[in-house]
Amino acid sequence: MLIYLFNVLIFPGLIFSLAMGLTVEAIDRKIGARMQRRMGPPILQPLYDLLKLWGKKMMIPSHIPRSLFSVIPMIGLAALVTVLLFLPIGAKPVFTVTGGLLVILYLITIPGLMTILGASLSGSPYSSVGLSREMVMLLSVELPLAINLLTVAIFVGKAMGTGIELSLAQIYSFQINHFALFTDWRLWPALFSFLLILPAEAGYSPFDLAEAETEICEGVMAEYSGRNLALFHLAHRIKTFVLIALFVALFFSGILVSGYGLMVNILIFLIKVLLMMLVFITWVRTSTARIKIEQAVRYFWTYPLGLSVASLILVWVTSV
Amino acid sequence: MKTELPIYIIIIPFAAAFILSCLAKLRPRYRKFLVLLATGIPMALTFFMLEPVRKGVILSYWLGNWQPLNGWAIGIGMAVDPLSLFMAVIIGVSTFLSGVYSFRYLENDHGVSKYYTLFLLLTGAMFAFVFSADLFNMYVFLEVMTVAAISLTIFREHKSGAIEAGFKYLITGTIGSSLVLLGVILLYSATGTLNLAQIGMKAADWNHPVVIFAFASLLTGFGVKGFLVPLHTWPPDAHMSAPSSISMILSGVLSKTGVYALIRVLYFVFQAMHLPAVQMLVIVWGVLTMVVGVIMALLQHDFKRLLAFHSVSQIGYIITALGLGTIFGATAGLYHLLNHVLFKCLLFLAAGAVLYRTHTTNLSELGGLVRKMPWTFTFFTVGAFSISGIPPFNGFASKWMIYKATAATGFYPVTMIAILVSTLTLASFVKVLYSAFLRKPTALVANISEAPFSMLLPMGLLSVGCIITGLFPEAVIEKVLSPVAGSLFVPGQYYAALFGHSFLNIGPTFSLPVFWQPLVWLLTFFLILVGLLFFVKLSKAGPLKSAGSLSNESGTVFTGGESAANSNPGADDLYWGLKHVFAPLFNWLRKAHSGVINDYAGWIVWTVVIVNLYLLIAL
Repeated sequence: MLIYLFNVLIFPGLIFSLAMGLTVEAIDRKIGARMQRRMGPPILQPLYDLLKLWGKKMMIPSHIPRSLFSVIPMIGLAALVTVLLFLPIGAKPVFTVTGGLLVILYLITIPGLMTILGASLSGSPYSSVGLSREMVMLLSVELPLAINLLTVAIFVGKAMGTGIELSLAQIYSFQINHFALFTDWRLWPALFSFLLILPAEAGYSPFDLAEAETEICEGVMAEYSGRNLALFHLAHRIKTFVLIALFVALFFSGILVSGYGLMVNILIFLIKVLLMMLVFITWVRTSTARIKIEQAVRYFWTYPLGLSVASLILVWVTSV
Repeated sequence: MKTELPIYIIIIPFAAAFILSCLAKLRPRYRKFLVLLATGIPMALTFFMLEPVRKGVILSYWLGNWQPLNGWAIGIGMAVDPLSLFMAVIIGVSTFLSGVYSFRYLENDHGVSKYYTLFLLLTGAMFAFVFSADLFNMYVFLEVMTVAAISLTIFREHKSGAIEAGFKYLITGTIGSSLVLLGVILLYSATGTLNLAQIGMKAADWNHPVVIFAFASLLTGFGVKGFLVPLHTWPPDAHMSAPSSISMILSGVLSKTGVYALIRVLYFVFQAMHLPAVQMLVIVWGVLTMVVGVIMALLQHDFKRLLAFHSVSQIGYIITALGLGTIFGATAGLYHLLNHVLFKCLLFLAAGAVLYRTHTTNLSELGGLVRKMPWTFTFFTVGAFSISGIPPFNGFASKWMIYKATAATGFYPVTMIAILVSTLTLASFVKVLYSAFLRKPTALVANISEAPFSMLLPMGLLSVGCIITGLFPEAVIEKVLSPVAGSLFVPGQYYAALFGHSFLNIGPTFSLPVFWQPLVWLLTFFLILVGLLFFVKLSKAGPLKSAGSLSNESGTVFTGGESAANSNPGADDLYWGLKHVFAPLFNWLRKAHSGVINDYAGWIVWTVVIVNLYLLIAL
């Protein structure tokens, strides 16, 4: 019971995820600035920002039910934090017998859904443009993401002789015992497709259409302020961490696992995640410009989807 | 006593319908009381049958005590096996809730006594349909059901489109019924009997073209009742113009009787589910239904029309899962069937509550109802999240099982399509939530209030049902679905019960090492929510002191200088990014649904032809 409470509230639950959200933001902003030949903010800037926003007055338009408006960001954040309990962070996940990849797939859409509902409620025309884009992006990304997850599940299932293995705990221990999945060429298309999806799913340039600051005034966030906005910002960063952690858990679990105990393994896991983030989020973010929504839809329904399907067919027809 | 229960369940609504039509001048209060009795007593009687059927007894009853002679059915038989009872309980509860809901809903309509006569006819016919163990009897009650439903569809005949909807339903429904009759006749000529069990006991001779033709006709005929694409052309119009208490029955229950008949045909009469060709046919049909339904739903601007297309899409899930032919797939399909009844009835009732207060279901005119109708909004949200498969609501649990069942049998593309369709469903319901409930209020909704209690009560009960079936999937499967799904795989039990043999074979079961456990997740979710609230409380006093919140008194949002009236975008083109890219597909589908009844009749005929050809070649 105490262990469960510790898991839920401290590691890898609430406190850890908040810390990771801040860390991800700090490193992303600092290194991103260096990539653009700027100094960048101090490393504690995300914390200052959070505290400042938290202390600000919240402006809520009078036609909105206030409690609903404020509870929406909390639901999104809480649902997101639960995903961390399904992920193997340096060790087996906390939840081993419940859920699996399909549950994770659905849980990571809840924050997006809550963003959309909050934006709908705010009544701002900018928000409605933003929520339309957020939903369309979700529709575009969901199919390749689902195919990637299932491809991995089919691969591991075939290798273990169980048909299809949707449990992330099993996929993790398979990689520990045998080999990391990124070493198998048949999964490379899925891996690349996942990398192409990452910035879109996490909402970074060139796919930050829903929150385009320069164009539609932060879109979905337009009427949010103060503590609610701080929660949304945190959720955004935590989602980044969760997605990359999922990616690392799926493809890179088996390498660099030391025998020096849990703490070292967790540290190695975090380093993997942060490195992936620097390359595939920060680097991409700093070197691209935002694209239009119809371009994004067309893009996701061709290249990432094509790669995912290719990987699925390869894994399907060949024997492991 | 117990064996006679089914006949009482059928007689009571029919008798009440007759009495009501004789006493048209009855005071409304007594009429309501009579309707409550006539729907409530059958519902209660179905509960009495739960205990024996759960123990494995299949109740059988021969009308007029015409017992079979030398194993040959002479009279009309009725049998209550787990599947029939499952359907009967669903019908009983839904019609009762629909009756309660309709009292206030119809207060401004004329000819209400005719409405209740037809409504009770519909109720009785649905009960008789699922209890009947006689193919011709099934056809008869199918006709009673269809005729009553058509008349109820045009109950508000002054509404534009009502007559047209009724006409469409009449034509397509009649063609469907005729196909069923054709199938029945062919089977009778081939086997010499009409009893389901007796036909089932003869192994189907798939080399015989008559058997294949009968099979295809029955599938298509019942497919019309069950909204399978391309036989789905009548529900959108019918659901839109029917009163919401009837839309709920049409979509939630009447379509399920079509699915029930398909299960009977596939699993009992022909025992065809072990044939890969039939499995393939059913799965492809289900996937087609799923995809076309959801795309058409995405293009709709009318609240109830959108819901109707979603019914089509969700039936696709059920049919696909049942087409897998595995015990896990069948359980998943039946689970989704149960859930679909709960959330679709709920959604139609919510749409009806909106219609009752605002007199429109056009999404472009509605807006900002969350302030005016908070309870309706809450219940609708539960339904919308359930149908979109958001954890921990019931839609997720059953969809999770369907994904797992399709993936486990190797139909990976089906799993992918099902996941995509689920996301499209979410998009479409976000559109409804946005345009009807959440966005800025429009002028239309300025002076409206919450729906009356008698309308909120059925919605509340259905919401609770959605949450319970979502939170306890393993209990629902063990207590409710396992006996039903198991019985599909031992049809011998059904035959034996009618013809007095003893047959002791327990249906297959399944177990999974990893299961979706909503309670564990929900507890974690709430703990984290409490943790977050702790931080919020902390900010009221202490180091994170917050300055509180400020209401923007003028009530305006930032519109960039545009006048507020012009900056309240509707739902017409909410997902234009998607529509723009997929315009060829969307336009083609929209054009195909021409609204011309000749086209739709042609689709049904072509379906029979294609199914026949496919079966002739594949078997």
